[in-house]
Amino acid sequence: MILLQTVAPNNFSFLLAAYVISGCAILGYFTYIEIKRRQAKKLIQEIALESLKE
Amino acid sequence: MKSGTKYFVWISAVLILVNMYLIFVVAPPDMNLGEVQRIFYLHVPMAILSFLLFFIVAGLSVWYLIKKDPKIDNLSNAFAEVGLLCVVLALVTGSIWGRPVWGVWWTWEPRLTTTLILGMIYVAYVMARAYTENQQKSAKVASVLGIIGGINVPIVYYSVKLRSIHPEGTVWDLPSSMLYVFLFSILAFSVLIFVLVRLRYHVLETESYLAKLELTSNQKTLENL
Repeated sequence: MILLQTVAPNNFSFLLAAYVISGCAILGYFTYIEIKRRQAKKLIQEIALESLKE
Repeated sequence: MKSGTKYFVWISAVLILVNMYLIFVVAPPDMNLGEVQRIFYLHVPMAILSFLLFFIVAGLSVWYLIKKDPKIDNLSNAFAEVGLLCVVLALVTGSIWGRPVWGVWWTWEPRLTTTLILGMIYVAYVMARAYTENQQKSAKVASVLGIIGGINVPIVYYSVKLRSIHPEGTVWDLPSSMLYVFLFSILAFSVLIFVLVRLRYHVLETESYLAKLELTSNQKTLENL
């Protein structure tokens, strides 16, 4: 907040903080889903390869 | 990522960018509150959408307890996770709004307290899923919590009438220049929430499928022994 107050004085720093925090949270959750999706995809590929070998 | 989902992700990204332009450039600053009033276009849609998502979770939870279908459970789980994200953002942005407007980061007034309780119920919901080994048992516990959360939503909504410092007026009281931006905000965040729920649901479905595969292969190994 102190850093934001220096960059953007007055109430604008609060506005900026709200949008930056929300944006990071949404992007963070999106990244979490994407990591989970890639892990699941990798596992499926491994299972498919193993069954092909058998 | 499926091509249909990719399409939705791009639509959502464009809508959010247009929304940011409308909020920061087109919408006029409030005469009394100034620039900080623009938090409203994020805070209120998040709160409204969290209520809507928790109602859906409650409905799906009842449906799951009747049908015992894992697909319904996964859908309910996806809605609850995204709902939790929305309620946390509503609380955080509300707190950031409160500091310059009310002079405090937090106050134990009815609307804030009941919203915090709602958030806690969904933290319990997510924890019940994460820390219970038995899938069916965790689904049952989470469904009961989902129903309790759904019951709490009207309490949060009407808590504003109990000596709350939250304004009692509706969004329809806004001047048209602000109202259109607010309505667009609701649309943009709804699409974003829909995309997140869709993505999460697909991942949960794939994870369930993998868990089933693992169970089958374990059973086969046991039979061969």
